[in-house]
Amino acid sequence: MKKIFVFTVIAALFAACGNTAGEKNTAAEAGEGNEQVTFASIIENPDQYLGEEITLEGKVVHVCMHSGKKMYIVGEDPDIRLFISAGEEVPKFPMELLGSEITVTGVFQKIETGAEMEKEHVGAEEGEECETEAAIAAQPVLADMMLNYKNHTVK
Amino acid sequence: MKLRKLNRVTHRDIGYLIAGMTIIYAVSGIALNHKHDWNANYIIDQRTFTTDIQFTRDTTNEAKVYQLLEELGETKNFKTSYYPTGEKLTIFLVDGSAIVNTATGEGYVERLGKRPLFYQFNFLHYNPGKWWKWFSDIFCVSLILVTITGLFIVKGKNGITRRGAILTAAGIILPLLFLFIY
Repeated sequence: MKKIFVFTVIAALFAACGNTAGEKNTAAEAGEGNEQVTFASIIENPDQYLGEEITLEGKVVHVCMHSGKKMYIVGEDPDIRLFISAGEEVPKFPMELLGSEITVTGVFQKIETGAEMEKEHVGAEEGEECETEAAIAAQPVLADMMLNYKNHTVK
Repeated sequence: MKLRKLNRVTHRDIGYLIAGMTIIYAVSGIALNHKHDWNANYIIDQRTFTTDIQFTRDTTNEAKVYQLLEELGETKNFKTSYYPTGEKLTIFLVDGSAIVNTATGEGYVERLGKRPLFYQFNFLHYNPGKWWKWFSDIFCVSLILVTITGLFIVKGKNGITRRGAILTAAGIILPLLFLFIY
């Protein structure tokens, strides 16, 4: 009886660990201070990651050609884009990133004012940039979210 | 050391030191000032095409994309493709993209090349990193130093008390006028 009880407790502990792992790796696995997350998980529950430093994978589908300070990535759903803003760590995103699969780390946050999304190239170009920003605005999720860039690696 | 000599030496030596940086910032400043008229960082080369290949979101796969790339002579440059909701298929290439309007079959290949000198100058102008920010702050302080010391280099009727005063005042009044008008 005692053996069955101990075995049950151990089994329950393993089951609990398995359920809480989910799609998040712990900070210890992903690197100090940040979580490895999937695109799907931030789409499903963006509020859970607000203010946190996260690492996720995505495909770069747009880089702002003029300022280079804005970049957009997608996960498995090509219609859900995430805006990534360059901070002090990088002067601009290189255009060579276009079409690349990257692993990017940054702080996931709300776009608080219109400043971050303000078109830096108003009047300069029509077409692609306006299309991307218009498409973001029409997204059901992540339209008001951004990743404040820290670093990236190309897969 | 006399004050006037110190002033001259400071102006000379700091002037030499920041000559290169001044040219970099000035050239990129002009380039970025006109960023609505041209792309200061990249040379963009575009060529249009038309294709009969039918693309839809359900049927588009890598084989079909390669079919188009063969028509365009870009098979070696393929990276990946992107086809969100709508009629625009983007095929990312090395150093460019091919964009297709899947409804009409019309598209264009866009190639990007870094604009020599300007790309590098603009890169520096945009403050690449925290250390460069401090470096450029020091550069700006040096500019102020060079300007102020320059005011007192020349003596006499062409110096700061006469001709220099008029020209310096004009240089201050002009931006003030702009501020007042706009």
